[in-house]
Amino acid sequence: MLRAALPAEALDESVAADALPGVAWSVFEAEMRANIRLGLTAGALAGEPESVPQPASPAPVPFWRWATVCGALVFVLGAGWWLGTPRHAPTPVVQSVLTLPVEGEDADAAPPAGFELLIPASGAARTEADFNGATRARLIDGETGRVTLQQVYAQ
Amino acid sequence: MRNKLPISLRLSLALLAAAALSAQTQPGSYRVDLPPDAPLALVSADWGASRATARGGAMLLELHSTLQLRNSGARRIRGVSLLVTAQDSTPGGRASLTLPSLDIDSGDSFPVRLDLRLMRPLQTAPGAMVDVQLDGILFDDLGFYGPNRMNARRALLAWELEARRDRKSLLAALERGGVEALRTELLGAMTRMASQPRLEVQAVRAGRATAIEPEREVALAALSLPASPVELLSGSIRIAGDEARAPHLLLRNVGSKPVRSVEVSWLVRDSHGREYAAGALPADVDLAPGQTRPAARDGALRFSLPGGAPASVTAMSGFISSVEFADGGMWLPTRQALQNPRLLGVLPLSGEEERLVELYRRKGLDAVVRQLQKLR
Repeated sequence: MLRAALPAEALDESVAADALPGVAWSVFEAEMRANIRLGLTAGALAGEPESVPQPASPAPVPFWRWATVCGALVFVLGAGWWLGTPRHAPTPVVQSVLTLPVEGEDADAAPPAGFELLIPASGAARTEADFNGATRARLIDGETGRVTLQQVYAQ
Repeated sequence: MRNKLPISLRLSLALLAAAALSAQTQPGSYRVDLPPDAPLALVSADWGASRATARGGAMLLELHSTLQLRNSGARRIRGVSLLVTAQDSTPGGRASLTLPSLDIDSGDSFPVRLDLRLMRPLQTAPGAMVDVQLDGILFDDLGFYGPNRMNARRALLAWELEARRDRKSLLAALERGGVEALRTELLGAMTRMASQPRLEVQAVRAGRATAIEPEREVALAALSLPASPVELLSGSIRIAGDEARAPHLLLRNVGSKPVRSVEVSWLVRDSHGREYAAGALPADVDLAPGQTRPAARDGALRFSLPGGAPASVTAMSGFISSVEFADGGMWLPTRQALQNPRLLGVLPLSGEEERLVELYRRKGLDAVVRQLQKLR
């Protein structure tokens, strides 16, 4: 790369010799060669670089460590699942039902869209519907005395 | 040589993947939108177990949330109604959540539990999947705040007036005969609640599903309650098997005040001759004093027994259970009027009676006495 970067006349030895008439090029060359040999000899005397020690094969991990790691993982996953699961998973009491006709089925024969009430087991729930298409659920929490009226609309 | 992706690109890909996985349930999918001048503030919203799943071309949204709201106004709150919207135009895409019987002082917080299942199309405009908005607040002076899009005012006011009527009656029993008289009243209500036959009612949007039984038009039997400002003159309904649809009513304003809306409650008789209370029909009818007007609906109801078996309907009767006047006032039947022998064994307990009975069952008589005296 360096040579390629030089101008063409710089590579021509006769041009270089003419440019620096006072330099004994042959002597200069001999000295350079001697220096290179010296460097190689010194390197040989210093010896080959010590081979990089190969990493020792890892000692087998004891079973109890694996068991500890696996146990910790199971604990973390279990705790995550437990914390992520709602403690109180109530059943929605009012849900809309859209029955889509099966492909190929006569659309008129399919059950109509409507609303369905999923009534909780609690006796304090009451459901109602009206001809406007609305469906209501009345829920009473006996513990707090709170009443909730939920209503979904067809239109 | 290993072909390494730039760290920033790898991070972006990881974030995109995480976003795609959580897009259905991230908190930003749900929005609670209260007007800035509302006397109600959102303290916190926990959407915990809410999730959305694709079902064919629709998205099924299961909402399980607890909102913590605070009374930021000066008046005591007696009831709150929230409008929950997944998609305005989708059947089953809207719901309302109403909390009557509250007693929230200024500055106090209270939880609102939300358990709903709603539908919305898969392809919709960007934005929150579910919007929770305020529809109305009823105060202890019976004042109302809110857009009233789903007639929250009528529902909250009717509940509050009915609750005051029933508490007054129980309080009178307490003052007349002490705690034993109150206990007798509550035990009587419990007995009524347990002995009443129940019918499950389902609103069916598209009318009849089967043609197994022929449809016939039957005349509605009209029950008249004393002092009702609106009279149900006559009516008819189409009945087929376990379905009743398209009621036609003729209503007359026999009072002196213009009427905005009425609610007609239904009694259903099955093929065994048993009678059940089966829902109501709120109808917006502008009735001037002395005016007679028809009211009709196209909707349908389907009836089933608690086990799920279809209830074969043979006859229906109706009576006016509430009237809303044009000036915002309301009429409700008195407790004496509801002692009608035809209604006594059939009509369910009022919401407030049922609430106090539940309180008695869980917390005892003292808790009921405290409630009656507090909300006197």
